[in-house]
Amino acid sequence: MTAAPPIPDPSLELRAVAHSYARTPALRGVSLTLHPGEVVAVTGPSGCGKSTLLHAAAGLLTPQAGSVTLLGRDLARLDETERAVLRRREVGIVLQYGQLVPDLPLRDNVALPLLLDGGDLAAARTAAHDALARVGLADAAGAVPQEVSGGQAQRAAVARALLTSPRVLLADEPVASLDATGGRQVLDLLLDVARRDGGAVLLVTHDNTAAALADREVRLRDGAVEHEAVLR
Amino acid sequence: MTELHLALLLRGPAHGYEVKQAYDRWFPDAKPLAFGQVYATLGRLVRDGLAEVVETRSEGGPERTVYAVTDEGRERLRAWLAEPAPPAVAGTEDVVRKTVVALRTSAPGRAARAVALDQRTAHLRRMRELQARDPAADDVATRLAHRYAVLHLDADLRWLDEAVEALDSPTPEEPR
Amino acid sequence: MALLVAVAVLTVHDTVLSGVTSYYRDADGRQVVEVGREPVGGLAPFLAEPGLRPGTAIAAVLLATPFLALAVQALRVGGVLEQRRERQLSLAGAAPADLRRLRAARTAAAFTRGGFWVAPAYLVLWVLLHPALPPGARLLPRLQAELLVAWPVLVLLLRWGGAALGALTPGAAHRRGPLDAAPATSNAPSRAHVAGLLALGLVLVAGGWWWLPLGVVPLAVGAALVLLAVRAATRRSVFTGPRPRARGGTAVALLAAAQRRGGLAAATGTSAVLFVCGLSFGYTSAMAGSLLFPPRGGTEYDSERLTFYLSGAGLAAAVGAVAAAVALASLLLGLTDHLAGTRRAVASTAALGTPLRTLVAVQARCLVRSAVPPVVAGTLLGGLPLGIALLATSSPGGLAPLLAALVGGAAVALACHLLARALTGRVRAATGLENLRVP
Repeated sequence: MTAAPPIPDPSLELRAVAHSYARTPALRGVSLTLHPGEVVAVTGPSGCGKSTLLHAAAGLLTPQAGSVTLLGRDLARLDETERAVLRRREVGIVLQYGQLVPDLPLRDNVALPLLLDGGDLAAARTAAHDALARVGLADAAGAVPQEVSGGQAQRAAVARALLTSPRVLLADEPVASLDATGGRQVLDLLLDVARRDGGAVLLVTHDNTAAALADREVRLRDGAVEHEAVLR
Repeated sequence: MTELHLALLLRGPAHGYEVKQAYDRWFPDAKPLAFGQVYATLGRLVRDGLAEVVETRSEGGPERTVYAVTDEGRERLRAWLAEPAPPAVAGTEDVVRKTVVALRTSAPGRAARAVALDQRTAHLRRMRELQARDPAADDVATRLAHRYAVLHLDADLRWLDEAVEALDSPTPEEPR
Repeated sequence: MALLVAVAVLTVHDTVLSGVTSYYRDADGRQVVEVGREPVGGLAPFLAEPGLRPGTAIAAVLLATPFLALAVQALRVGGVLEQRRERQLSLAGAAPADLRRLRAARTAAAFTRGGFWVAPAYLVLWVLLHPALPPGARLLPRLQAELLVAWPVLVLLLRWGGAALGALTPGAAHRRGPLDAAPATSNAPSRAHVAGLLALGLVLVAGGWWWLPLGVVPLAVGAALVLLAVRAATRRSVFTGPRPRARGGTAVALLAAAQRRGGLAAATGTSAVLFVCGLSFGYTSAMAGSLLFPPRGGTEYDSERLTFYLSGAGLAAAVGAVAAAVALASLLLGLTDHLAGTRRAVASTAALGTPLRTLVAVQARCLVRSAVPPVVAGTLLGGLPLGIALLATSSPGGLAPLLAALVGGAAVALACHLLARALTGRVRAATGLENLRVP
């Protein structure tokens, strides 16, 4: 008989998280655990609280009830700056579109997380260049976001999210504005965080084909978990 | 099925086993073709003059009949391709049958929703398998066949979503 | 426009221009800044002194120019949202003529409301500049009954002017279709136009240099024309270059440079105004230097005369400072507009892990990099000719322009930082989570 492998500490743990916007409840006691190397898809009809859940997980909003533990740290105990630092060092965030700074070349856009941490410009740009090359954008490094296609901008955003080898990747509808082929490319890049680097990926999506790439599906409905299933 | 066999023979004279193999390669996500069906169909093609027996080989093993498509068969295939396929009629798939049965036989909502959600999980799992294959490894036709399967599963999933949604707003009971 | 006003000041000896601004919000919640002008008779003794008239004229130009720039900026504020709205309307079937009518109605309403505010604002200004000051230094005359008639006329004129301005403002529908992107370059000026501007500017600069003490007006106007010509020819700002580059490799530097690239058009006009303010400031400082440390063999002024001239110089500097402040305000308006237009990117940058104070620092740097170089350059250019002449006679007064450049630059930089601090609320609003959903 072999010993069971030790269960690693969860990368992200939401416990009974509840939040309302002006009396309209967005989340009503959602609990969710995300382990290293795991991809969890959060799905559900629009307005079910998917994005609010992601924002709470990222520490972008402090839920009115419940707790969020990100990489072993209770987000409620961190101040705004500490959460910002945690995000840019350990967490990658990808949104649907329009997250790049306009008029800033892709190379510098991607280098931002390192630069914000006081990194050296030359080193940060080299890293950004490598990251852009990984997503097939080496030639567009000097272009500004307005000059590239939506798919290219999204790949650049992924490059930025992956620059710091995040231990947690949070993606909010990352492929909703892309076609099937472009979407699959972006998703494969995101999933590599879990498959290759052992990070944890939370994928908020209403796209079934994207959700089907996850290891587990958490389906929300009216701000609560309606159904949870292992797909693996 | 008739036309499919004609199409498979169009690539060159072949015996029944080769036809079956080609079919399974063309439609990797469909149910594999049964031998009995292949020989029955080929026999019917010969009877109708759409195919002909060109050779009977026996390479040390059991005797094998080699079939080839006739001009009449080619014509039939052309006509078939020129005619658009009738849009599929829904309602006969198991997914629909089960959900409708669950809806009509259980207490409003609960059990039917469980059926729909479990079905969703089954569909997602199948989708995951289909998408797990490396798309670069397949040729274009195979990739397209996969994509067809994935998109059909997606259509089912969307229908299931609507079913779950509809279960939330109870409608007047149908007369039995 | 400001030039016309200055000419009017020169010809009508006892008419002065009062730049009256009023701030209010229109129905769309846009911040609108309105400029009103009223001719009033008589002024403090400076205009009575013939040698000082050019100085007073340039003060008027200086005062009017930034207000004008501010008004134009105000029309542009909300432009991003406005254009989006117009594009939607035009998708919904509105013809260019409909959009023009809408714009005209909107600006006419804004100008009318601004016109109504002119009288109370003038009253406040009058209280500040007439009863509150000692008799000799009063800058505005007694209130006159004609003003009561002039007011409604002014309101009407503003209303028509506003409607015309609104109809003339190019809107989104002026492009080929509602979905076309903004053209990269619009109606490029002809070569003859640019050459004419340049020639006129150079002649004025040369002439101004020749009669230096009195030639400040042509010098400043000429310099402005040269800048305009260069800008028109290259479609670039003289001060910011083709693409503002980040100096230093920090995230703040990069983000500020990107933001300035995005708001180049608005910043360029303001930079020119600041440059002219700098010119005046520099020249005034050199004058003050020459008064305080007269060159050997020059006239020594008695203390009464000295006080008179120095207070004149002080007044000119104050006018320059007000002008600079207004120019900065218009720069600020441009920034808030830019923030509103890019709030999704701002929110995303915050989500990425950028603390609020970094984003505020970006705004500060943006303001500093747009405002300080033109002020310092203008001060040096305006003051050094006289300053060098003074130094040649070994008068320490020649160092005054350098000191002025230092103090002016530092003051503007400080103002920029304070303004950025004041923008914190706007920046925080732009980082709101709801902005992650806007298109």
